Amino acid sequence: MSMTNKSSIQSCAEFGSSVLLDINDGDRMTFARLHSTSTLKIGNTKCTLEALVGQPFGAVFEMQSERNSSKLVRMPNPENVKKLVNYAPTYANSNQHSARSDLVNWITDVNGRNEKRQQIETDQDSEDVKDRDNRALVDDNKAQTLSSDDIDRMKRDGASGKEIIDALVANSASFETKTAFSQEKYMKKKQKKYAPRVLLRRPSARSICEAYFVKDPRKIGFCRMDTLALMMSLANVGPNSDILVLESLGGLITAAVTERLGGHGSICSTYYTTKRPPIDMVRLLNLDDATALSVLRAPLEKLVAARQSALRSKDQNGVGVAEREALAQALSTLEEPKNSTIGQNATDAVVNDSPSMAVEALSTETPVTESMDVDKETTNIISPAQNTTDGVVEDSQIKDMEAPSTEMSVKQNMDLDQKTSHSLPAEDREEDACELGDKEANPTAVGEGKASKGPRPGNEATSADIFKWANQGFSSLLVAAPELDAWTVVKQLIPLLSSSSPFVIYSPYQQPLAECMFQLQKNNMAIALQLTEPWCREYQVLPLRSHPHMQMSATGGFTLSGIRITNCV
Amino acid sequence: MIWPLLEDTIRKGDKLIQDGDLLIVYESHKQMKAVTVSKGGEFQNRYGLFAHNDWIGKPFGSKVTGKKGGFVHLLAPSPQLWTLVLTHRTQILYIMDISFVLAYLEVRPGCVVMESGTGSGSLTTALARAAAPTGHIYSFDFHEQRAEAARKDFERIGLSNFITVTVRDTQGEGFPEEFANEVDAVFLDLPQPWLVIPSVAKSLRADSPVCSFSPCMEQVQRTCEALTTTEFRDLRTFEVLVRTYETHEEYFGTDIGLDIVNNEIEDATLHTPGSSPPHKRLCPTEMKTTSAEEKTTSNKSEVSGKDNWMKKGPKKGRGRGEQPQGSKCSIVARPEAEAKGHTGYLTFARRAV
Repeated sequence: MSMTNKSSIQSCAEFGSSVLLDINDGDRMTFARLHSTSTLKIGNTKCTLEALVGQPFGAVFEMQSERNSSKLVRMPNPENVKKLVNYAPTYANSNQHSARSDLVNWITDVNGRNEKRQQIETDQDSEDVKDRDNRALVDDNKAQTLSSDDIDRMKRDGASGKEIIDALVANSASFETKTAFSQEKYMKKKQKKYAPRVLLRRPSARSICEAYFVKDPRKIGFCRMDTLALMMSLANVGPNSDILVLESLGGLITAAVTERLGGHGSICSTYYTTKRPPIDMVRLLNLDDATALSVLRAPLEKLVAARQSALRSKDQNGVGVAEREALAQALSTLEEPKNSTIGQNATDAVVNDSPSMAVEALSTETPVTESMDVDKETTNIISPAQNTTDGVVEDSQIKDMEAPSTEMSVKQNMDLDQKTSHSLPAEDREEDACELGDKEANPTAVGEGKASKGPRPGNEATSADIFKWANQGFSSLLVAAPELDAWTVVKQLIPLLSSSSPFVIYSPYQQPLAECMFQLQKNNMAIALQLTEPWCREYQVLPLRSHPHMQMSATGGFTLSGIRITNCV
Repeated sequence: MIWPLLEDTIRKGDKLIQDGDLLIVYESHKQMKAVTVSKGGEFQNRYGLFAHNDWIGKPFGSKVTGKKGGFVHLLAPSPQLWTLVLTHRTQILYIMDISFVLAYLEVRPGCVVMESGTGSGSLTTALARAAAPTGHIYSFDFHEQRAEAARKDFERIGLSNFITVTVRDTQGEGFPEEFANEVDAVFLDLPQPWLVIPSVAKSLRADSPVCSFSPCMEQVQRTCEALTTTEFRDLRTFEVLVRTYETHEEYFGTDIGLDIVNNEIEDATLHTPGSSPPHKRLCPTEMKTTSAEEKTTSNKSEVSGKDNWMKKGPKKGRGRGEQPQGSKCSIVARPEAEAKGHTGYLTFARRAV
């Protein structure tokens, strides 16, 4: 059986790829897109991301500064994995070195472990370490004799990060008196400042979720990565499915579903407003063409109307008779919207594939705030690059976030799609659009190369797609729109599912889901209903230092899951 | 087989039950059973006797009644449902661990995944569903009978094309040589996983993850120690659990026998719809009184009635849908009394580049 990798997981970062930069061992995570003008700023130093192009994911780079410029230099394995512990032996006396290696050198034999422990205690070398503690250490900031001016001068003279760290250790009065652990901690801290490391990571749904959860949880509705994972399982997300997603989390759910489908099947990321909410996070996944094309969008009204007519015709005529006619009829009877709001292209959609929609197609309980039109840019269903009304194109701000505030958004690099020679209408752009560190460069240069190749995910669904979904029903539903009343949404959307299909609703709040669950029970719409709250805790596992992390997330949201049942017997 | 994994088994629309299908008979939240449909077959439970012939031709998700009048629902299988109905030959993983592992290992169609041991096949099922149709799961177990039982299960649930179970003592021998640098993800559920770590390092592609599941912290520590080599990075250990809630209507008394009412305190009013920003949640405590009355009550108004240690409101004067005097009604959610406690720690690492 062939074992070639067919998973289309990209192993190297290419030009135009989205990447996740892990700076200083998880201290800071930031997304970036590899353009020739992309830059990264750590502290006061800036450098280009050129060195990352063509490099494998998992490669580690060190930011090395010389004179006025900095660059990212690849650290070869095993250097890149070596713990910083190995820096210290240069300075530490041999006693400390052997003590530390004893400490970390566990044997796997159960009996041997006790022996080893005794050995540590009796080893005369380790007596120094054993006796060391911080009782005499006074924190008066006088231990380091080098001043910041001295260090600046060293930098100007072209000293490398390592040289600066060496100098700091040599000039520290208290270094020698510290325990091995403490020295290690000190070295690590200096390393992070003077020779920062950048790990090139491939974005995945899990890592995207985690990065946002730390930096800007509000944007993803406080959905934690274990909750996201749970939703995938509860909704039975997998290949050869047709999945309906209604979300306002920037595309997080759509991204996770897309990753699990791998292009086998279809995803409909639906929306209920005139301006489609962005699902930019999907683009962070560096999808191949087939997978990108499997991500479609359609307005909720259309889906519901189509489904209603398909079900009606099934009732009347048995299974699957004249459904296409019924659907075409349903679509054409949707009238002009009654209350057009300003700025909408009410009459533009003359193409018979996508008529504008009538307000009455909605059930009376659905909150309709504006009439919905099909934007003219999205009527052409064939061309893949027509995604101009993707809502908000976000621009990234990779700036120094040494003291990250939770308010700061992690945004993507501005990516003006080379294929769309017409730019987005002004109102679709985020107001604070600005390129990071690129003020000199012109990011709109069309001839820049393949910054974004292939079709973008999120094309508007064709009427053939909608017909298929209406006729077959979706195989799974995921809702993550905390701004909406869960029951109102679910009541309308569950009929879009085929029988025995699972659904999951996410909310950062428990009560709305409880009420929704109650309604679902009373109306006999679903079984296997479960209101779940996931819990997740990370542990530090180190010799003699294993314990749960000091910080922990208190909440990752709630999920309500169930399985749709047929009402007819 | 209704798993939509092979092109010819994908059924469009409402899937209809056919002879030979595996389905899940859902009696209640805590009572489910896997049944393979056969012409002329019968299924019996406390709700009565059910003829399989009555099931054939109906869509999955249908409610069917037995000869005595009781009913059950017939559901299409999924990895999650299978986990709840499979025969336990060993301790198994449940949805929380399974879902976290799948997400962290980034299992997706086309992946080649290795697993040891197979156990009862709970995780294996989920892995196969995720890696299909172009990927494959290579599962190893040192117990011959259990490996065979697992193969039979995978045959029954229609996943045998995607799973290869091999009898092998991975702790003693490691993974087979031919897997060197071919594997996208490895999962270990072994008593001494540290023994297999060098072999895992050989098998994994660069930057690919491994997960080791161990109940005891000592095992975790040793495994981490084995992983602390130049071949692995990003060691992280987690514990994941779930808490489930049951919901019901609850009446809260407002009559505490006081005739004198303190008029100085006015109840704060909730925002009425339309007057507040959409993102502010409304708390419909007072509003629920009418909806509680108008809905028809069903037999079970709780999802799981087993642990109902709390009485459901004052009995006096309470008929169907009627609200007792001097009380207000709310929907309440309460954590279920029983919870799954510790299963194991999940340790992840990535093969260094």
